[in-house]
Amino acid sequence: MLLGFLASLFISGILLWWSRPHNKPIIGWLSVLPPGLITVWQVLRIPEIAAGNFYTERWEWMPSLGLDVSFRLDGLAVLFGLIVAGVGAGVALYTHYYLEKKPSQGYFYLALFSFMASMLGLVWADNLLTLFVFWEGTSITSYLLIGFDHEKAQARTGARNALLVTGAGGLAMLVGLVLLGQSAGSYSISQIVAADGLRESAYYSVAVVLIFVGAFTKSAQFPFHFWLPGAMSAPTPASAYLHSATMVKAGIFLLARMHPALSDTPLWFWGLLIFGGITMLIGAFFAIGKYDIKALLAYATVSQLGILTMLLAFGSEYAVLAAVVGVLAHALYKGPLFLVAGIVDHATGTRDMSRLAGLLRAIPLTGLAAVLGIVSMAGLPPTFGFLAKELLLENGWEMIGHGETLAGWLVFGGGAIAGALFVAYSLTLLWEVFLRRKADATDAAHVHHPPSFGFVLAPLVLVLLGTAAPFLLGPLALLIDPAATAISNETIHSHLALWHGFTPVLITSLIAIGSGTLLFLGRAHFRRLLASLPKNLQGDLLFEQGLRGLYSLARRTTRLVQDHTLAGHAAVVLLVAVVPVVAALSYTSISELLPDLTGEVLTGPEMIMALLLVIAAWATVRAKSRMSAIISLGVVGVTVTLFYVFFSAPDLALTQLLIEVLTLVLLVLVFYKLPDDKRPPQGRLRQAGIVFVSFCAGVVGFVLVLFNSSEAMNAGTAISGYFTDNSVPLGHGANIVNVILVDFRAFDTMGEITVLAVAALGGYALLRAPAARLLSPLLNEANTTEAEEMEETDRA
Amino acid sequence: MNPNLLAVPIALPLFTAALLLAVSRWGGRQLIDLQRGLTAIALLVNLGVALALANYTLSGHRLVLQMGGWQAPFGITLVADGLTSILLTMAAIIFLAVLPFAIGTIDFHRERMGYYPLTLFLLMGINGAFLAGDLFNLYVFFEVMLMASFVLLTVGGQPAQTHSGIRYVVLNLIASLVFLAAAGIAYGTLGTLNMAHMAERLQTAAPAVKTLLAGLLFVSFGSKAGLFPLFFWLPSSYHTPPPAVMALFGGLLTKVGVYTLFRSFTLFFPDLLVAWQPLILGVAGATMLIGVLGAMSQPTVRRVLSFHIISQVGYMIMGLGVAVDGQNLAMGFGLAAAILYMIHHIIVKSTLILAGGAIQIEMGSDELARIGGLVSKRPLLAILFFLAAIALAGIPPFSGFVSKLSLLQITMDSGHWLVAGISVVVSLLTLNSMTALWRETFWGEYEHPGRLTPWLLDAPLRRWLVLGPIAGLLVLSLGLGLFGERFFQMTNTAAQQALDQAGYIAAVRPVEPESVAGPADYPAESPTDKGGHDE
Repeated sequence: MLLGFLASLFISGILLWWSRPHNKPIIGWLSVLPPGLITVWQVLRIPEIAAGNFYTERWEWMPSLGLDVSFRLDGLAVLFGLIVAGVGAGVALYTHYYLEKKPSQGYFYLALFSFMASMLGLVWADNLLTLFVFWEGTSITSYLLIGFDHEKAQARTGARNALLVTGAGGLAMLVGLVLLGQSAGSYSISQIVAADGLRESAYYSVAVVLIFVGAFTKSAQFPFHFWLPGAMSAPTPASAYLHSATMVKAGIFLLARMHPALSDTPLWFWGLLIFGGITMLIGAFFAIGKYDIKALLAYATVSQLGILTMLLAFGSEYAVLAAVVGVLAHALYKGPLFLVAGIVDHATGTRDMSRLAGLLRAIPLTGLAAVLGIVSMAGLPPTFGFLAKELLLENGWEMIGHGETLAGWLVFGGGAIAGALFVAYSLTLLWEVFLRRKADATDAAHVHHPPSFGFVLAPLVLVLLGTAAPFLLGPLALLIDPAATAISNETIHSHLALWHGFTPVLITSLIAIGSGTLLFLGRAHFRRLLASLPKNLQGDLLFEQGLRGLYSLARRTTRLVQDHTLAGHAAVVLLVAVVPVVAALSYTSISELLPDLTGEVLTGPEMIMALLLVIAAWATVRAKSRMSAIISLGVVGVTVTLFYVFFSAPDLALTQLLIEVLTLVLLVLVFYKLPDDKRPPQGRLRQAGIVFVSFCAGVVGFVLVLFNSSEAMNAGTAISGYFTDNSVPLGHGANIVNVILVDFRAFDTMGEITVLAVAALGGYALLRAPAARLLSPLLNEANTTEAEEMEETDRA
Repeated sequence: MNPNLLAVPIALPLFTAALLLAVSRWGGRQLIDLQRGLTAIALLVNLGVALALANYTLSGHRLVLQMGGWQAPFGITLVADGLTSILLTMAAIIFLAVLPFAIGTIDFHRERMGYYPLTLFLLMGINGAFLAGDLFNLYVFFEVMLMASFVLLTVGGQPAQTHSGIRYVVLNLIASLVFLAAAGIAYGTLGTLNMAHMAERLQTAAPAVKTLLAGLLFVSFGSKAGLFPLFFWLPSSYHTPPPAVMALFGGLLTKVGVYTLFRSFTLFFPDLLVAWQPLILGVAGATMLIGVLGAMSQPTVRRVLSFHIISQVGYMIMGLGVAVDGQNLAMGFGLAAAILYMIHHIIVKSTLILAGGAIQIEMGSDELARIGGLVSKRPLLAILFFLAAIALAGIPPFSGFVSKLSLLQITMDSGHWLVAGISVVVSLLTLNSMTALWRETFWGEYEHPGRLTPWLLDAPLRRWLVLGPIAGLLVLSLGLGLFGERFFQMTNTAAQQALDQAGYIAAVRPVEPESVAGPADYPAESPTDKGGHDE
């Protein structure tokens, strides 16, 4: 069923793409159906889930790897699932109007619906690896969505940064999940959560840190938060959906999911508290300085995500409830606000707050949605946002009461400060865009393209749901309680209410609202202060620098490895081949290898030949011209041939002689055609290098011969005796070599003949190529590096 | 099963190539069509035989053919087990898939100069290397492969190709020389070249011999496989031939090196898999890292792709390093994972090279700085390239994910944190590099530097010849990912078989020379009695 839902979303995406929806409003409305139906189905499951009957589904994918596709619809899964599918339905409709008449709309739908399927799979998953699979799916699809306006460099950079940061986090998380799975002996989340003793596992801290990295990158926690504002270059429906309502909460979801199994240790507690707290404050702080509506909302989102992370540090009832209510509230006000930002952009052509004013009157329906959303974002009573903030403060206050003063005050104080900042930026947005009569900037923007009803419908419905929620807390508990229970693993019955009487918490809240209003009034100073902050501390710039550093490291490494002459590379390969010989020598001694030479006498001719060999070889190396080098090389060859004659191997000698003569003739023919070698003589160092490599190769050859002739290294009778014995009776030939070549090992010969045929074919093809082209590389090869060759090729 | 079937993957391409050479001399268009048709038939039959072999061996059998009826170790033996037939099948698939692409894109000059027979010679070399049960015979097939690939590299006669061809052939010949030295040592010390016989005798050989032989084979096979620091020939040459040729090379050639490493270490030196583990894993890690760093610094699509080959060979060698390691996972899991990775890599790498080649032909250049914005002009190519790119990067549900996950699990299970960490970092850098290709090529303003107008994908027939193979291979990758368990069971069978040294020896049944002292004692098999035997 659930997998069917995911597949149907994906297929709907393809159908939407295929139907070219950009000028067919009906398809925009139809696109609401798939996510809408999934929402309805989930809503219908809620009573069952509240009663503790979870819907599960499992397919084996790769049992050998513990990889299943398994889903389990508990309270947490359905809470997130409803947000994903519900907001998704709204965004689907909105998209059609936002990308009005753009031919690429279908492509956006495909990416959007693929993302939706991945995100639903992620929140429904009951297997760590399933979760990872869908997690990667969201990363890739969000990459495509962020980079949708790919002609803009900003969109491409934003997409890249988001993908790299979340991708890195995803892979770190994968390692953490595998560690976790291997420690627990299962990748099933419900089994891991139910199992005890994970906290005592040797890999607990490593796994938790890696999972933190995954969650923090996805949910834009400090110090990875920078990608989220960068991702605002995405089309607004994607920003609203991915970067506020759903994907950025995947990290929060992961932490909530693993909360019962991993929480309650100092690492978990302080890690989440500190990083969440920092994120909360810097997000709220920077939001005030932004003039772009989407940027403001993005930083506000970062801040809200920080709060949620911080809340998950705790296990108390208040904290867990605050997290659940926070997730829900945030989706219901921030998502619509993003959508509103898109409508404003569409209607006026700008999102710059300094150029906007009085939109409440100009586009009243949109304005209404905006005002309701902003009030909730500010956390003013009686909104959902207010409720979430109250729970956060309650949690801090309770901790102080229980003697955990430090953590308690951190939460309480931090929450109050963040509350004030929330009020400040919310009021700024409300006043400047919707209420005031006149814009700051001289080139004030006006509504030239009022939104149609379908465009406004999605944000309006979502924000109305959010506004109604605090008054429906009774039925809503059916959704909130199971989710909270899943996070804390203890049954929670919430008694949420908007009004608790005049408690210290409420008073603090009111003080925060008051100081927020003051901040709003003095926002001009605040903005100037923020603008004067040094630019090079911004995360995206640092990231860019790091990336550039990585690329330059890559270039330098590659140049070091690959940019050499052919001789240089050949030398490396030869030297590497020395290593095994040295290693083998360490297992034995030269004396063991040296053959027994007693009684062997070197005859006169042999001595002369040996001497000639050395002299000829020396002459080849020292030769000034190519011709003399070839001739002395020929002498070397013929001398070797004579050795074969001495040791009565006439076949071998004959073959060798043929080869020597042929080589000589060919070389002479070729070199005759070549122009003179006008290269400068090689430097001392290079010469020494060549001598060294040649020496090593020679020693290797010598040692190999020793190995072959050594009695101690012999591991069995050679099979050659068989050939001697059977050549005549079975092979019907008196020449053993011939019989081996054409009978015993005729298959080898067939292969070698093929090699010759292919070589001939190649020679023919090369000769058919224009001659001038052919010679130049041959001449230059010896001392050009690849980079030079590349240039040369380009010139050609 | 009839063991003579083992000769087909070698003999069929050879005879077809010879036939094609005979008809190619007259040169007209019709005869090119005849060549194409005959090649297609040969490749189809080859695939059929490979599948039949795979079907037989993956149920736990080995198939042995003694060439000319000469009893091992005196003649030449061909052996097929699971690993062999998996790779035979992969080679068959890739050759078959690349054929339409080649028909659509290879220029007339190359076709006339014997493109089709040359690819068949290449296939013969590759198949022979997989089947060889004799060390020198393996060398011979390496030569066939080397020569056929060298000619395919240089047949265009462009300066860049000749440059790279020389680098390619010289560096590879040095590696072959090292291999030849190893074969010489094997014969000199072990007195035999039959691989089963060698494995038998190596059990009692002096440690110095073992070290020497293993080291020399590691160097020469490692160079063929493209391991650090022996891979120089690869990035110098792979980007120069036409995409169809590069797809064959990139998909298969280095994998023959990897196969020989797998075969030699499991058959000859199973104990060194433990003793040399730090070395193998170190080389694997360095190869992965240097390869991906190289890819990051390259300016053209095909250069990027050729460096990625190196990086990914590192993963396979990592699997070899943990072939017999692991705590909770079963013995051989690492090797099974590595073989799975190999299958994935062969498919996806060829796909990506074909897609990159389509870009290059379409745009007239594959220089990243000069092209862009192809997504709106060629949406289908864009989708195929994107899917292939993320498949390579290991994004689910494609084959890269399951194969990388299995490797990650075994390296972590056996406690090799460093190399596991490197593999994860390299995965990220691969993802970065793949999306960079996508960004530079398909996103941005449309830039078309070629002098000619885009032509490749305009003709419907050519469009399908080019895009069809890419799509088909992608479907295979998806299938491999989705039905990973079935394929993992197969690679696991293959891994267990490969690690079963005694089983290999027993299947080949090499006799000791002492036991067949003279002709009178050797009536068992005569040369006329063709055949071998089943296990």
